[in-house]
Amino acid sequence: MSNFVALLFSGLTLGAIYTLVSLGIVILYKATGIVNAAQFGLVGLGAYIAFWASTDAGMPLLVSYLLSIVVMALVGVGLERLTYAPLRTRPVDSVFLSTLAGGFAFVGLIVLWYDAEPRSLRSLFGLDTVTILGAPVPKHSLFVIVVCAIAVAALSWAFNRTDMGRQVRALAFDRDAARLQGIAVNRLSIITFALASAMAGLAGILLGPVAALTPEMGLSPMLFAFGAAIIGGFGRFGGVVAGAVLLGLAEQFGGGYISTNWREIFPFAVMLLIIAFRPEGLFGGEASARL
Amino acid sequence: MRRVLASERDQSAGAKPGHRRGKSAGALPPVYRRRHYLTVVAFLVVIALIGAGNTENMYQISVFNNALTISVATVGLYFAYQLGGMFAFSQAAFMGIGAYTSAILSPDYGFVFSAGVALIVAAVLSYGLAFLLRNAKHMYFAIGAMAFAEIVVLVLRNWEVTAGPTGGGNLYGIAPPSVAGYEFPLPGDIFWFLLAVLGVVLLLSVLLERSPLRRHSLAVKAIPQVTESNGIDPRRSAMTLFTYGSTLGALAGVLQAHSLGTIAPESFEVGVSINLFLMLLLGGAGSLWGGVAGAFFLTWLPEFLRPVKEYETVVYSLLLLAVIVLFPNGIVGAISWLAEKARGWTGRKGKAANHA
Amino acid sequence: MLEAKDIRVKFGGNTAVDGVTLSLDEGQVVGIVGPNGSGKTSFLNAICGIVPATGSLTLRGRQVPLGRPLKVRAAGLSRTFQTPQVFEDLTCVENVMLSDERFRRTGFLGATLARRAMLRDEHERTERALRALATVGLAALRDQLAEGLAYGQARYLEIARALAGRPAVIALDEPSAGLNAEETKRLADLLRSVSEEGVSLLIVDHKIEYLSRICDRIDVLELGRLIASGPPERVFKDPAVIEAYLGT
Repeated sequence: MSNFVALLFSGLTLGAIYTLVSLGIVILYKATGIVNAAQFGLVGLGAYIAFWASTDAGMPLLVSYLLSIVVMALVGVGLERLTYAPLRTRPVDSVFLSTLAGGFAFVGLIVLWYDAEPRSLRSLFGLDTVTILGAPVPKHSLFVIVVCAIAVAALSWAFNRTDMGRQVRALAFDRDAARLQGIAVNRLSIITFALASAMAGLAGILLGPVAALTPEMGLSPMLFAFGAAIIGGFGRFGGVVAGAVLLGLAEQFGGGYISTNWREIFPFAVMLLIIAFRPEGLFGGEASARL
Repeated sequence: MRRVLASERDQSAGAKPGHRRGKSAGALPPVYRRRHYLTVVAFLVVIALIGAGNTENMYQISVFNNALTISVATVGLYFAYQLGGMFAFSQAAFMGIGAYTSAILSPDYGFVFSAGVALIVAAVLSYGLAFLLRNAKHMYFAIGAMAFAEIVVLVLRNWEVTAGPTGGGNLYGIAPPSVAGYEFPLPGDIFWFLLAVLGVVLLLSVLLERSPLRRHSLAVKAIPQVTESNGIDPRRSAMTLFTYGSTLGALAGVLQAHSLGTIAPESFEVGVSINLFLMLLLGGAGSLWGGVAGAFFLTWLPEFLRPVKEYETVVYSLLLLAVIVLFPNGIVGAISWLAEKARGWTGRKGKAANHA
Repeated sequence: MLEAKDIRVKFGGNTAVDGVTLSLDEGQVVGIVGPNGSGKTSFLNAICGIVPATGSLTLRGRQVPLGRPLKVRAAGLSRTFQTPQVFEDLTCVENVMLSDERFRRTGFLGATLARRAMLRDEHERTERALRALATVGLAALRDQLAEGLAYGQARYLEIARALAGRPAVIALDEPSAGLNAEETKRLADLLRSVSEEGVSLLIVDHKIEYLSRICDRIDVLELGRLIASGPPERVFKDPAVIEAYLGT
């Protein structure tokens, strides 16, 4: 039982992290029509910035985290200015390939900055654990789950209840019509890019203490994030969260009960099966047709 | 074989009026008139001459060998991606499948048998993957291919058969290729072997270009629904091309394993597939020569970048971005564009299809 | 030749085609007309297998499942589209060769092991394609890339492609769209001569003049239903038909 609980929480933790990356991708896609496969580079960048701030620059851990998120948001703004205009007229496939290459460029930058040696990022809670139903659960895990829940709730509220959210939804539906209605299309693009980028960075920061810090650390999580987005039909938040949690749990339970070295096979296999047999997702999203 | 080639040439030029009824009735489409075979032979001769002058230089010849090996993989990618229209981010994984299968079997069964098994395994797996993902649209296929690739690397890292638990998947001491008693112990000898293999691959690929498969694949890539209304199954066409392309990737892996002597799972990760795409796009995705050109170019580039090796990843990715955005036709595209212009100046008319 | 029974097409809540039945004999030319939204193109798409539909379809005496474009084509029905769908990266002759009815040896094995036979097939295909191109008057452009064609030429190329497969029936979706009066007349003459060779034609269009001239029968659709069917002179004077057109 305690094993089950421990694995459950690890799975939820990973699911939370994948959710953050995935929602960043989905929100950006819905608002701008761009599928950003560079997210994995941003995940790594966010983690390394926090690492630099806390280790090399000696700042307190929480400050480092916040600094990283702010910097990543600015990086997002920069990305929007540089890449949005040339990419928005291209077909989805070209955008996917281009952003994938861009992601590797970020990885390369990290390699330049530091090197490819694995490092580790400390958590706000160190290695402290809490005992739940007889299992030692890292406080960091609970922290991650809570942060993610708050983020999802905030985003959901922002999308459905605020003016800005309404505008983004209108934007996703028809950009030109939205512009004619006086919606500040450019400003919203910048905001969504910044948001997606910050979420990627946050995911990296939360992932740091769980996995090792390597330049390519974001690649698997981003693949799982795409998987979650596909399971959720590239549409509803709830579906995406469910997909991310499903993949995280598959990884941990597979790893715990079958073999820990092979643990990533389980979510990848799930992804392959879903793409093969139910590409529209398990929850009937509406946007998959556009892809 | 020679008779087939000769009759093909004559038929395409309609040069035997008495033989067939009608003068130009029976002349085949322009693609059959291009000098494919000549180009292949010329290429092989050039490389042979350059290589022959360098066989003593272990280092240079190893770089050549790398370029030749990777060319096989990029030609495969040309068929899978450019003709088949599929985002084959699994190409490096199939290289790994080929490499490891052959490496594991060859101590007991010899090179030829092991290589053969490796190719068959890759063909079966790639056909299976293509079949599994046959309804997936491009981006979804890309993600599926990447998921498959990650699974393959995981297997290579952790399976006992590939010395996963003991050696992290690294295999050493792979014997150099040997065919029917001919040994190729040194890199200088391996060079000739690789050149021969690449020659065969190019020849095979040319045969495919000079066949209905070419126009079927171009049509399927352009407007798949209309090809269906004309009786061509777009998915079958794509699957065949993907299988052929991935099997070539496996062949490249086999060649890599036996020419380098050691292999490690890192060499077959998703990032390597991105590099292969870069080579194909840089060289010019519109023609199979693009893959070769890109492979050669980007195998030499690290040699120049050696002093600043850390910049390699950044340069590669930015190069890929630049190519996608600025030079969609790559090196070969630029060359053929220049050739078109030159032909225009000398007054030669005709806008025959521009695929090599 | 062709028998379509009780074809129904629904899009979401809309019924585009509401139980249409019609048939074609060998060499017969039938025109399908109707105001906008009458379901003409949906009907065509339905029998060609491109949109999901219910009902039954029989070609050359054999049942053909709906919704399977490949099977429909194999059974002998080819079609042209509202805007000419030609493959721009291929030459004209290659465009036509694409639609041959025999696809033996067009794959991997054909290119390699069965090469001699494949080349023989390619010769025959080229000859058939050239004959089709000659019928539509494009033989001189055989080696030109289709992307350089004018609109009218692309239209004829599509017809040549539809012909090459020696179909039993050709379905044409607004073939005169974008053509002027002179070009439409030439198109009509071409279609008439094609039908005289035994190919049945199903033509969806608006232009009553040329349809009256070449069609053996006119079927009128309104709101997805067949409201009139018969020889052109009679149908176009039918009060129900006139009201349908005036009502839009």
